Amino acid sequence: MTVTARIVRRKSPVKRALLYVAVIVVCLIFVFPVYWMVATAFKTRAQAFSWPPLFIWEPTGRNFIDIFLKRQTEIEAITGWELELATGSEIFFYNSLIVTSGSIILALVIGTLAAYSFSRYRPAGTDTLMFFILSTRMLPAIVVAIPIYFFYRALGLYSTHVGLILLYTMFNLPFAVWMMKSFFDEIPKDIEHAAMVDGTHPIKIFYKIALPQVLVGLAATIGFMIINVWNEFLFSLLLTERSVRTVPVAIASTRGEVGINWGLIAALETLYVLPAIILIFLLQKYLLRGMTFGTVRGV
Amino acid sequence: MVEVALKNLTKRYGKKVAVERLSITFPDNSLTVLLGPTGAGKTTILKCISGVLTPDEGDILFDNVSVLTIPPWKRNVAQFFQTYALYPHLSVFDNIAYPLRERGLSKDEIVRRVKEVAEKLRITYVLDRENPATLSGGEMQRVALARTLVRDPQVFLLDEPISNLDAKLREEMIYEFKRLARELRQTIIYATPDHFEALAVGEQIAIIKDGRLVQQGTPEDIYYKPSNIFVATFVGSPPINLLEGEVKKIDNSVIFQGSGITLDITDIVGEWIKKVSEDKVVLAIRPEDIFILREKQKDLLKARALVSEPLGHETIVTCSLGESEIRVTVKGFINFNYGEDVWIKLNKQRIHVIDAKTGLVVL
Amino acid sequence: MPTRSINTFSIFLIVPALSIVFFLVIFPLFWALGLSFYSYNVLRGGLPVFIGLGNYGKILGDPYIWERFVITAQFVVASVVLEFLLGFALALLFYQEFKGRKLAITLVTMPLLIAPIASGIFFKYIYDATFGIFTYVIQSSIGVKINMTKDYAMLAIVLLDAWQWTPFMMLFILAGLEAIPKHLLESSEIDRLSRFNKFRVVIWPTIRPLVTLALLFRTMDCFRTFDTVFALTEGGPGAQTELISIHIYRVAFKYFRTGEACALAFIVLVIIILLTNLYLRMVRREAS
Repeated sequence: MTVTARIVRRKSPVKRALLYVAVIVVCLIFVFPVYWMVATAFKTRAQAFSWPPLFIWEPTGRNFIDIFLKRQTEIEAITGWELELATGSEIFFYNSLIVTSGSIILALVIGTLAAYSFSRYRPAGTDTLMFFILSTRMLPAIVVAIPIYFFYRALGLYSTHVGLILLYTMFNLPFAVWMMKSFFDEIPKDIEHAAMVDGTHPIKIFYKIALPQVLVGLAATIGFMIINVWNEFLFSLLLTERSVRTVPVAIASTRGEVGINWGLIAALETLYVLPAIILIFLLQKYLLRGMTFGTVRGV
Repeated sequence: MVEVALKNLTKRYGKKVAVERLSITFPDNSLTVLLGPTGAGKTTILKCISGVLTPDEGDILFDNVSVLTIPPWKRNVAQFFQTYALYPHLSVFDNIAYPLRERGLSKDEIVRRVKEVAEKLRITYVLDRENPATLSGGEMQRVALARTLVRDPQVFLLDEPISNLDAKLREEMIYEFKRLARELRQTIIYATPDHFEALAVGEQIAIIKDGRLVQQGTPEDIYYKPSNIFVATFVGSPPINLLEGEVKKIDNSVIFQGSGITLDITDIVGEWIKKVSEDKVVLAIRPEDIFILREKQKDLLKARALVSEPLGHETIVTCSLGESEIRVTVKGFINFNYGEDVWIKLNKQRIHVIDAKTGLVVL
Repeated sequence: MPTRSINTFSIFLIVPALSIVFFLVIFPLFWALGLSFYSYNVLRGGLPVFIGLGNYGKILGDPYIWERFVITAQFVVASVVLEFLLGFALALLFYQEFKGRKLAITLVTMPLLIAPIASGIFFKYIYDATFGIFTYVIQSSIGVKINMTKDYAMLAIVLLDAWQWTPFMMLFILAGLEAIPKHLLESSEIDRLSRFNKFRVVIWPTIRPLVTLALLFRTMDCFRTFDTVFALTEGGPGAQTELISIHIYRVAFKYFRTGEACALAFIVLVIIILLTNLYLRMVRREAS
């Protein structure tokens, strides 16, 4: 059981005022670009290009509609060809959703099973394997991207949901294995022993006894995975064509006829970041807990 | 209702040997106590019997049939865990009902049995609690006990079932256990570090130290006929008095000399007299086997009373005898002045002579 | 417990995870390693030609490549140090109790949720010399009209990285601070430890593992930075901000000199492994 301690000292009013000022300044610095982006989403082309920048303007929701209507031209980020968009951006959101949730579910299932085995049965080479899984995060994406590009083309996985989901599952696996293992480690062994003596087979022990106790851990793990995969760019860029493309790549390839339409880009990202914000807000408590596992032991 | 036998059981944790070549038989239909200090290996033994741990060497037999290859969920053994091990995600009722559900009993039967055992342990009022973590320590213990007792297994394994309860509740539970043992007519193996519990509850006591069996017998055997110095000092409160010294053969008498006193022990030596040489021994005698008088009488040893601790029905008096301190139990309320001269007599029939080197009781 | 069936069960549980790691990491890695010994260009056509260590030789002898490493190192050091200092200060700030704390934390961690590619693109707008808000603020306060992405490109990307990832550092350190057992803090108050000593004796030992972890993660990730810089400057102007990751990308997917790109990628991999090992060893030595 941890009791979070914080400094609560009776401060002089001056110090207290300074504290609030500091907090406000800090918040402004980090929030302002985000605010500016959301604000730009409500600006027309002309308003976005004005100088000095407009702090007060007449907002328009035009951009949010436009991203779902047919767009005139689109320049492929890699090859520089001009393509015509058959559909609006809803396909990108759809793809992002499919790929993110698919990989999260798959990584959770596979990772939790492995984590349970590492935690309870410690098969030979557990420590090495676990470290190895963690070290895959060290790889510069580009090292694996090149062969996987060819690999996927050869196997027909290029520009498929399945292909991208499998890849993202690999990205999420270290989180799943490491975090779930630490949560399993926290279950007292006696509880599983009691279940065994009471007549429960190991497989049943897994889903009836162990799993229910780590549900909190699942929440934290999902939180981290979302941050990890929702915004992925490089692999989606390399391995998808328009029909399977995710939003981050769509944002990068949004260029209008004359210069960049900042309002459209801002609108796209504003919509895209909303689900992430909501989810993280809900999972805030669990995320903080998930970070301290295994490294710091509170009382 | 089976006889459980362990043969040469050995279990290691890494380099540390928890249990070593332990052979012991737990007779069926009786309550055997595994008595031993913390870390002696009692929990390890119980977990090997239930199958949760696999021994490195040796065999475990139920009615002379080896159960080593039978996994714990098929061994039909009920175990109470020292840590309670309640299922945190189940309600109290579901916790107790769990083993019955795993065995596929009918819903009515389950409800009946759970209610029955809850009444016996007086926890009916918490049956509908959703979260076991909200129970008090004593309640948790009884719920865990209920989960164990609700079953009808071959063997009951109880690992310190009442150690964390408050004194009053423990007294009640000791009585309950004695009663339950007689009612249940099962093979019960009960582990505890508390010798009071052991003597009160057990029909057989097996003393375990450092993973080895030291002595097994009835409570009387353990108490009156300890086989070595560990058993003698471990069981009994206040602990047995020890006097170090030597035994000498002078003419036809055997004299004990040590700790500032001299005692003629010829009349109790008996057969042993043949083996006597100049041996270093320890004399051991229980506090209740010493008599203390205020007036000097013949053949009594002189001592000085130090501290008196009245307990109500008896008083423990610490005296200095020669160079050592001994404790004497006297009936009733007696208060000796500090430093007062007293005369004590040892009940020679109850003296144990212990070989100082081997620690074995020779008489 | 019957050990044989338990053993198969335990192995069965880890097989799916290990297969994914094998097929999507190990196998491609070895393929890339193999490919690095060939000269192969998709655009040129034809079969790969085995040239042994030819690619490696070419790369290590190329001053342009070394320049990439230097620039990347500059970027990583500047960013991580900045993020650490700022993150620590912020963590201390948010360690205190005040009204609206939870909201403030949510606000400050927002940059983490913006897709790096999106923030890179959008900072292009913010930094823009003609209509960017950043330029405007600088001009209004100092009176100088600057072109961030042209004249101060490195500073621009470091600031962007700091904006995006300082909250990450802050969260880690804050989590560490919050895990300090209350009784330790209380006893240090009773013992009237000076602020400095309190930090040295009570706070630092407890948060050290998390700080180490945060630094390690952040350094590794920073080394692999691609999205933000690619979007903001595309490595420019010229090659001023062309990090090694961007360069590899170019070689692989713009010029399609695949063999060479693989060799380069492997060199980077080795460097990262060495750095991490060094880092962990340093930490372990400090601990004992």
